[in-house]
Amino acid sequence: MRTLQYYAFVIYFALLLLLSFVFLSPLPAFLSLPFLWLIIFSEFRITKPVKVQRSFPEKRYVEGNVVKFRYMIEGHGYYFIKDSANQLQGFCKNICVEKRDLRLRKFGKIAFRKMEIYFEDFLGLYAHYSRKKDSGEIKVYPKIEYMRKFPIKPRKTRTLLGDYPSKRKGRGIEFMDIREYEPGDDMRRINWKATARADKLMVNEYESERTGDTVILLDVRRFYKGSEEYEKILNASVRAAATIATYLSRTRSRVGLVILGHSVDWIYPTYGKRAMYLILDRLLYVRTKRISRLPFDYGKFIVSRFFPPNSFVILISPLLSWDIDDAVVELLAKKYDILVLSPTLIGDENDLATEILRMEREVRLRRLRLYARVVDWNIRYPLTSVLKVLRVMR
Amino acid sequence: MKRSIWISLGIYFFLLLLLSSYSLRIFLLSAMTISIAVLLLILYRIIESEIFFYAYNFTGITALLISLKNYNPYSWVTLGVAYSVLSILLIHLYLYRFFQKFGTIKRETLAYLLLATLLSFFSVQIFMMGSIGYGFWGAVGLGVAILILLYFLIQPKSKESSDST
Repeated sequence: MRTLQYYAFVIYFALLLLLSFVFLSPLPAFLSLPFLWLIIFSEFRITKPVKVQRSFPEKRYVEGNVVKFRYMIEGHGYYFIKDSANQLQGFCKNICVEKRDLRLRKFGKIAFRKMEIYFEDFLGLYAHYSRKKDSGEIKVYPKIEYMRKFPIKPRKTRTLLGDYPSKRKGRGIEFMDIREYEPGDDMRRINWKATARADKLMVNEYESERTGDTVILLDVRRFYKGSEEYEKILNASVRAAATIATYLSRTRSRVGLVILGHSVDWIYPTYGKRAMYLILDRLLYVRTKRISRLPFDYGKFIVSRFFPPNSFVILISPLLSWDIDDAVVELLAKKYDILVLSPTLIGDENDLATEILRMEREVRLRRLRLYARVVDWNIRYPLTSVLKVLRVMR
Repeated sequence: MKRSIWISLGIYFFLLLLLSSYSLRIFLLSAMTISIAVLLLILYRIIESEIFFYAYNFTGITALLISLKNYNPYSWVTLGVAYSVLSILLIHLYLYRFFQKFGTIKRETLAYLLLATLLSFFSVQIFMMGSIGYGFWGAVGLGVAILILLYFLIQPKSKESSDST
């Protein structure tokens, strides 16, 4: 493919010859010769199409990580390469290696769909342009805070052994009761102080630890694209959901997810790492868009229809719509335990607007606190520091 | 390095004005052409259409022709000056284009530019002032030969050149 410069040089050459005829002067013709020589040079040094190979070490990263891309370019000339992550430009002689470090600033997915390769010869007169199909992807997971303990306790536990203290007696850590020794009881469980007092063998009883179901209900309906503050709250909400999901997947309990955005998206409760990756993968696609008019009832319906009763529902919502309160009451009536985690950016400023917003929010929170546990989370502070003050929820 | 783009253009325009300073009329004509070139350059900076880029460069070449209007075109000194000044413009053209597109320019490219002007100087000396031809008709003869050469060169290249992997 010839470049525009090639045609420009040809036109320069022709125009200068024409000027030479018009003004009957040889000087324009003399000045046209360098362009001809440049064209001849480029004709005799034809460049081959360039080849590009890209590699990166991992496919999964966390926000803030740096990906080290390595591009191997094969060709002789100037190049301009653009893919979904990087843009390279420079000169390559035969084989060269370009390295690029990319800091992943926001969670999401980088999908490599196409790569644009533009290559010019050393005089810029011949070019190769191709837009080839590209493959591969990089998943950037939300930044997860390390949570040592998240004191929640579902109302009803499942039969499998897990980390939640249940109402059943059995092998566990949490002390529950003392009873008289029965043949077959473990000698290590004898409570010697109680035995001395009662003058007969007494043993400790413990709460059995079982698994439970937890549902993370993420409300992202009222975030619109372009607002920096909403963007921050959305990011914080997603990070909170990811942190809680990761913690719960470690506790051998089942964890599910419901996302309320422009539509309802949900994942049925699952155990372990599978649950964690399913939820994290789904969270990658949460983005601010235009404001959704989806009522909260859809979320309530999904939870009550598809998730087991007595599950523990963690609602992450900035409480920007008024239909949440009634839905929370209805879920409680259907025997779901609810923890409302409400991220906000309303600070301590003293202007009138902030004052009104703060009061309005306080009213909402007070009303919700009548029925459920509410955590008011200013996203300027880490989630774990806010949850530390939370008492064990029963 | 990017400063050199504008330094080269500034030197080029300054030399044009210097060369045309022997006559007020030529000087004013050159100044006017230079201002048109600058105007086209500003338009290029605003619109960013490559057509304007080549337009202002060609206007620059026209300004060179005007500046050297009353010089003897067959004098090797005139030719030497003309090619030297033209090579400054070509360097500007290449610096600007390559820095903008690829962020770099290699010595190889600049070497070929200077080689092209040197070869042009010698080809004029051999073809138009030597035994092959003389004066206007020598130039016409060379022009015709070049046109025939170009006709063959402009033929489309093989298809494989457009494939890239």
